Amino acid sequence: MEPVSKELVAASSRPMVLSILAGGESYGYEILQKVALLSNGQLAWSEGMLYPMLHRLEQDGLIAARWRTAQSGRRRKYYRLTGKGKRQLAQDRASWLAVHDALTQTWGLNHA
Amino acid sequence: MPELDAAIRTWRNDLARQDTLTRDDLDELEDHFRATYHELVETGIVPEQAIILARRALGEPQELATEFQKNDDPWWRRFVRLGWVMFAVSWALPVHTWGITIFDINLGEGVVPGVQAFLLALMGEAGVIGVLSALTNVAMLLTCWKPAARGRRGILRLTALIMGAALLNGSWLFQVDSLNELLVGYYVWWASFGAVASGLVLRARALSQRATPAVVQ
Repeated sequence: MEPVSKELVAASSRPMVLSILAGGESYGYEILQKVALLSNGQLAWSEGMLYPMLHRLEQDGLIAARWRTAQSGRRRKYYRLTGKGKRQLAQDRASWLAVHDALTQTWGLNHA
Repeated sequence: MPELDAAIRTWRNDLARQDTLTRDDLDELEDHFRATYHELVETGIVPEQAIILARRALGEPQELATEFQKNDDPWWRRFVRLGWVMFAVSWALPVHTWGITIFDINLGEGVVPGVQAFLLALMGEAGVIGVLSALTNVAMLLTCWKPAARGRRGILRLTALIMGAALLNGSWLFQVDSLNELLVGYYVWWASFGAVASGLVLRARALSQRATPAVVQ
């Protein structure tokens, strides 16, 4: 299967991160691993894209970050969803489900 | 893991030279580098190869810096650009109601545009302060020379110079008999120094949070 286009990857990145963080706080590497796992490797995210995006979401107040000491004894930056982020996720979810429903119906009719 | 630590030190220095990333950014990326490395080693890849692959996965320093730069706060640039535009415009605006002119530009009776005020002041028509004030324009031109490429110290020196220039140029307010003698060009010119100084202060603040390359022994 062809990998998902860059445009679609970019468009889905915010709801994807917010959805992952809705399951609990996480850090960059783990988020990237979860994206790869959830999409069966179809969403090709790069590290260069991930961190600036996380920082942008943080600037926008959708997620919050704090440094904690990881098991390795090194500092690690953990991200969590904020109240504003939860509201944004609800909006994004409704929008994506609307798109999904419309496409599903269209393809359903075409196949009929 | 001395090889890993040495490789990460070199890699961090390469990133720090890009002048875009903060120390926290580097710490976060280093955490990612180490996590990638350990995962690769666990899958059976030899450490030397894992270092190369982990570095490759994160991308070239320049590419990473470019991505991070997209988030860079552009406010300092906006202030500096606004200052430059005001400065440039002020040269054509009426500045003063001196009756002396060097060449004939008719802006109204006795009204001197910025360019003439500069030449008159430089020639000593307004005394020593006038000459110094005219020379502050050179300081302003210095800010046009690659402000983004200057280090924090360079920016701070430039900020002090422009703030000093703004103070000196503000002294005209106390040297005229009436504030009505000073016209819109003067105020725009004076404010341009304030706008550029504000931009440079913001730039210096942003740079203080940036990472600096460490000395590799």
